[in-house]
Amino acid sequence: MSKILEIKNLDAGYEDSLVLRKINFQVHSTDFIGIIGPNGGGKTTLIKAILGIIKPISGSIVYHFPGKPHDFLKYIGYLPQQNLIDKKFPISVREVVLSGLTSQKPLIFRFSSADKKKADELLEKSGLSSISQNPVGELSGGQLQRVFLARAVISNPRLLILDEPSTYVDNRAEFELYETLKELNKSIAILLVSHDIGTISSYIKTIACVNGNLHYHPSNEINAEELNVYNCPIDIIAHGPVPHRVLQEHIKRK
Amino acid sequence: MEGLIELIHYQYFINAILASLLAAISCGIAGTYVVSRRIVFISGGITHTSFGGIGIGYFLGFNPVWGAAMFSVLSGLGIEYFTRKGNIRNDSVIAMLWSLGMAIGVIFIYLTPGYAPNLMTYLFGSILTVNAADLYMLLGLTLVIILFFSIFFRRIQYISFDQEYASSLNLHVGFINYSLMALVSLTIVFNIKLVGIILLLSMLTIPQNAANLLTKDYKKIIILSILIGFAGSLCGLVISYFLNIPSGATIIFSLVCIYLLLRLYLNLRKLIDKS
Repeated sequence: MSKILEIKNLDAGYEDSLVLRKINFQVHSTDFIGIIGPNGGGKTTLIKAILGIIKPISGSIVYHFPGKPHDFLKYIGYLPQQNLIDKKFPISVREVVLSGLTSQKPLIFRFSSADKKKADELLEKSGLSSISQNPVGELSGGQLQRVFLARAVISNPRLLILDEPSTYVDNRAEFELYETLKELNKSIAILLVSHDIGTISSYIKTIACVNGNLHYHPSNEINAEELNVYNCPIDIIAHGPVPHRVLQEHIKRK
Repeated sequence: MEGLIELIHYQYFINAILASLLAAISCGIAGTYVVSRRIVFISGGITHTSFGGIGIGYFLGFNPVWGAAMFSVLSGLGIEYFTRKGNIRNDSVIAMLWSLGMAIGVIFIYLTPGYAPNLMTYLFGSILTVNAADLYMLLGLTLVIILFFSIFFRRIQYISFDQEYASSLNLHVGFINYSLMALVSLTIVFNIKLVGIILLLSMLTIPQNAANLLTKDYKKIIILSILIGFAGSLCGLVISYFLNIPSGATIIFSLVCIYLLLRLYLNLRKLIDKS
């Protein structure tokens, strides 16, 4: 289990607001870490920093990947939040999957037949072969999610980052997604951002609570007190035959 | 028909046809980007802001097109910059630029002594007054757009589709978006003489939406937009000549007719297929 990513004393955020303070965090080659925390707590900022989309204000992010340091993006697969997608956009399913290879290409390029074969294999595995030439707008939320997962892994990344992947998919698609991730985790480290921890707790191995700062929790089970200590106010969702939500006990007054 | 053949002998008519072709190509490509990235309103803002440059051109006595080019490119890059920062109300800023540009234009044209000769040309277009210099500028721009899209086609498509993901691949999102904004702005300015500021937005949107009825493929949308744009311009040109009505408005009218006929045809075919 080798170290692939090391974040030291990271401060990150945007021009007028510092979102993350003094983050220390490490990712190893077979990790499956659930990143949880309230909205606005900095989960997405952390991901953007790891992907190099925003530059650290101070501190450092060191990647232990082969090759030159600035080539790190070749080794990271990313599945962004789905709500940012324009469903009317004219692009085919296969083209979307192929686009995941662009960071490995020179400025002017064509996709090779090997690239296309790889895309077709991934689509075959995802059960999307029959619609590979269709525009993405015709897909269901679950199908679209599989397309984006294929796009994220076509470049054979060492680290896969998923931002709220279950938001727009039904339960079945969610289950299939997590089963696929479990399989992928045999060879790829995974960071899974989620606002709830209910469903993911049986798949993830460890937890990182992000709310301004980061608390690493080296287990896949976490209880309310621990979340409280980590200053990480999120809902813990319990699953049962009827959808329900367990609320905190009322304090009895005498 | 005889009258039509006779027209070919007039240089201004040939110029108009060449201008239609170049406009169809430049607007076909730039418009596909505008429509697919959903920046039609931004393009409207850029178009109208350019009027400020036209006014200043009149006032200071240089070619208003250069004033318009400066205003539109600056507003285009500015809007892209504010959109990237994302901490302002994008649509409000565009509306402000839109009306500010028009206001500056009106003020300077009012301040210019005497009658402003080609003012109506800039507002509503006049394709029959296109001269060789206009054609060379439009040709140069069209070649640059074709070259830029040939080189960066995939990056342009991926960035427009999913900017968040494209950033994670480091596809030079900033460079490409700013360059495209400048190209769209220049496309708008160099086509003003054809259909005018007020009608220009339709050249960037109607052919693309008509093409989109027939295909969902980015490349095919570009090619079909060019064909539809050219067909619409030619129709408008000929009809306006024979009915003696303004060419810009007639071109837009022809484009809308093509769009509606296409819709009607596709709907009818769907009905027939069902029965």
